[in-house]
Amino acid sequence: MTGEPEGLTPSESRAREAVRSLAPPLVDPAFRERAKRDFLAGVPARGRVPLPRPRPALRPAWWVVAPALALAAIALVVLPSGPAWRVVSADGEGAAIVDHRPIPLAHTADLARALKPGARIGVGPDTRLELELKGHLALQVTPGTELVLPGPPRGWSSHDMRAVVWSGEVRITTEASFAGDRLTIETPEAAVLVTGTTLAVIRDAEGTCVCVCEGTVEVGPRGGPMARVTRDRRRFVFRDGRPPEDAAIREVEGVELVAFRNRHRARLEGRASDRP
Amino acid sequence: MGSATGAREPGRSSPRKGDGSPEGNEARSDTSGTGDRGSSGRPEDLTRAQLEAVRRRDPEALGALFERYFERIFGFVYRLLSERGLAEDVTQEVFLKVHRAAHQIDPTRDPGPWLMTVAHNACRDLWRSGAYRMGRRTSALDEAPRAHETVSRSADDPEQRLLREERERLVQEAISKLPEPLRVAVVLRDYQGLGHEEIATITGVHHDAARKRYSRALAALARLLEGKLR
Repeated sequence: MTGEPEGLTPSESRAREAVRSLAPPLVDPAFRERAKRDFLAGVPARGRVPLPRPRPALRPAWWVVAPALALAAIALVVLPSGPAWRVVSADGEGAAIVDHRPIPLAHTADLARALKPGARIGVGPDTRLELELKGHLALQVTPGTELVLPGPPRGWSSHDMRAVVWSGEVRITTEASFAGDRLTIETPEAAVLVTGTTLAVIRDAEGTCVCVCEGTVEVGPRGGPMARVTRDRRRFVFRDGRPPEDAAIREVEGVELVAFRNRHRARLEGRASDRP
Repeated sequence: MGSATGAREPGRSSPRKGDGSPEGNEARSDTSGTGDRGSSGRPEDLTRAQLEAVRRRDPEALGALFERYFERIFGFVYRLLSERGLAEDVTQEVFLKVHRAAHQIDPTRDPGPWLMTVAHNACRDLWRSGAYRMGRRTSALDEAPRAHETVSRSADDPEQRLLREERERLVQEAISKLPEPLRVAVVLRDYQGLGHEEIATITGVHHDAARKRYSRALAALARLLEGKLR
């Protein structure tokens, strides 16, 4: 046995050689040292964020799956789809990147069409977006931010929404009709549980900072214990696994959050007063 | 976790290019030093006595095991996940699992294949996790692997280095677009230099299935890289 596929095409041979010639990745010496220390001790450093666990494999029987699929199909047809994201404002020049596709900010209709729940958005250093998921919440995406948009709770019995903030800062304010819903925001190192409030999630190279302007938010390392963060307080979850730190909210952040919340409330009140 | 696999005596390499074994020779025909990734000047393979000590979790022996296999495991995981932060987390998890299961190591065999199995399982667990799927569904979450994250060859002139880095970026990007089983097949075969038998053991599939996966992986990779490599 040669072990090699017979009759490789030239492009397959080139691909094979390309993989074979890949250099080893650089190793961060600090990481190497930490990994060795933990290995010798046999325990992870205190506060280290565990990896997400795999979902248990499902082995559904056909007599369970068939009715479930039928119900799901009916639900899709009968139940109204959730509200879509609306672009409230788009400041700056250039484009927003939505699911790897640049969309000029001036093309608001295209932008609105692309903003589906689960879409990944990136904005440049000069761009600021304000988005609204009617009846649920509003988001302010500040310059240099990358996030995955949450969607409305799916189906009439669900109350859960999920978002991911990869980098930058996102300000969030919920509406009165959000009551009873839950928004989970994940960053690479932290998890945030929102049940009605105004807050900012800031993700930088060191970790994740959650600043609470009003209400209460639960914040903790991913897979770790959550702690309540109350009004005018902030919590920092470190990337390197250090214990989270709590402090008072920075004044400038508080001012920005109040302004954002008030703008959104004014819009809602304006809409209410327009009704006959 | 099963016991360490691989039918080699301690003190001998796992089947890698140039090691004289049929598997190693079939995987690589050259001996230019790209087979044992990041291991130039690597510590020697562990002796049987050292592996016995690893089973007892003797710190010195554990340290030797770490020095021998760390770069290899990290390189494998990094090439599978294409993201440094995740690769670091998974590598650390792998070594913690190895510590917990150290008593299962068979001192008569090379622990390399077993370590690779643990690393492969850790990546597969990550791929199956809800949090990972959520992110991957919406996008390639991770930044595209940056070429400067790989070891540079200092003799390269800047232009050559740039070209090489760009080529590595394209290749890694293409690998990351492969379905996970195909990605594992091509990384184990061509990056780690393992034979199909060993890949079958590590991935828990039949030898023929491992060969077929590799063929499909190579064909898919060729399509992804068509016209991109000079």
